[in-house]
Amino acid sequence: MRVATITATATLLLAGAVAWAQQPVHNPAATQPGKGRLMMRELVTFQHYDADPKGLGRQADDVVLTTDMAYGLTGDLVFMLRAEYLARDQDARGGLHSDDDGFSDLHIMFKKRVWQQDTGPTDTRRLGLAVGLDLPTGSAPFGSDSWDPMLGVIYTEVEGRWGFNAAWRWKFNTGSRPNPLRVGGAGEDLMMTDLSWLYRLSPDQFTAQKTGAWYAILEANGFYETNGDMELFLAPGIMYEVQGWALEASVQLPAFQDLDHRPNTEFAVTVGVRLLF
Amino acid sequence: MIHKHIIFWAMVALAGFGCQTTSTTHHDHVEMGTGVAEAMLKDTTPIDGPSVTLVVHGMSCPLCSNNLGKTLMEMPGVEGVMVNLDTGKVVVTTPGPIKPTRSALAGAVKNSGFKLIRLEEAP
Repeated sequence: MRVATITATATLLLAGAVAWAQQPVHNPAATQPGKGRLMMRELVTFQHYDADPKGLGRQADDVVLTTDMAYGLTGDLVFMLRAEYLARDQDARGGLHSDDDGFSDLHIMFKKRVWQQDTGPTDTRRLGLAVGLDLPTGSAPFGSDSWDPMLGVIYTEVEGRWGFNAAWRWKFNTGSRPNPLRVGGAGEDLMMTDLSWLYRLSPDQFTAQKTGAWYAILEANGFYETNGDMELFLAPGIMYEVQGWALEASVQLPAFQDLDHRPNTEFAVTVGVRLLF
Repeated sequence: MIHKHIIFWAMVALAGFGCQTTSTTHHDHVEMGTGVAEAMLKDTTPIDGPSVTLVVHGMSCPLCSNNLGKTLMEMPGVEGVMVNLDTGKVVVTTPGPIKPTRSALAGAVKNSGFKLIRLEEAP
């Protein structure tokens, strides 16, 4: 029933999509650096957890520093790496308090563009397949201490000033640490479904001189774990992009949450920068 | 929506016929059908003149287009690259005696993940 609800919502959102775009903040895109090019991305996220359904009364604040690297192996195959460093301030029932910091599991991924149709100077449709793996490199309480493979399909379409991205990913969790806070930390498989729309606010028309652009972003980020936990975020955001770099900011707000194994995320704020080398 | 699909598949069919019937490479203004694109990748003739314009499709954003700009700037003989995302025109300036080959330019576009539509050389 829950899966059916998510699928119906996703279908509804897809049907309402007018047209399409570039890479948003959370939703993966089928765009990627070219052969021999390196894309670096630094993100800072502040995330607040509350309303613990397990009766532990946990409230926590996470500050997550994320480094993303993507390197073009060929024109249509990219190698990606994600490293996260977390600092957590957590309170629990009985006056318990803890401060932890450390790395979470290193995530590696290969993304292959399998279909492409370029219909205009900026217009394109692309489909990519992703295969990834979480390595058991993280420290307690952030790492899962397990090898977790991931598969995914990613679609991107850009048409005029509009952009659209859709991604579906499945992570096979093979282990976990007790009492996780983060999504996917409970040791159950995780399905991630993302949809996003971008609209180029300015310029209305590019020229050889006008190369910077502002984009408004709206994302829907859905998570379903096979233990029944489910949440959907809506994430408005903004991005400024020039030829060598981009700045991005986004707020994730819960639109629906049904969690029995970890506290609810009240909100998450992310700011970041992307650099192309 | 149905009309768009009919037009799209009609164009695919036409492009297929076009590839079968047009096999000559005209260096001043080269249209890139599928077969011609492959031919261009094998054309090791250097370009003529102080600049060349590549008409490229699929450069969806400024950061995306910089993939191609950076790759072109690393090529011997290239001293400037100007991208106009609205027209898809990428003007490559090569004022010196060393000129990139057509295959190198076509390869740069392909390896950047875009589609080369035309290559226009200054007369």
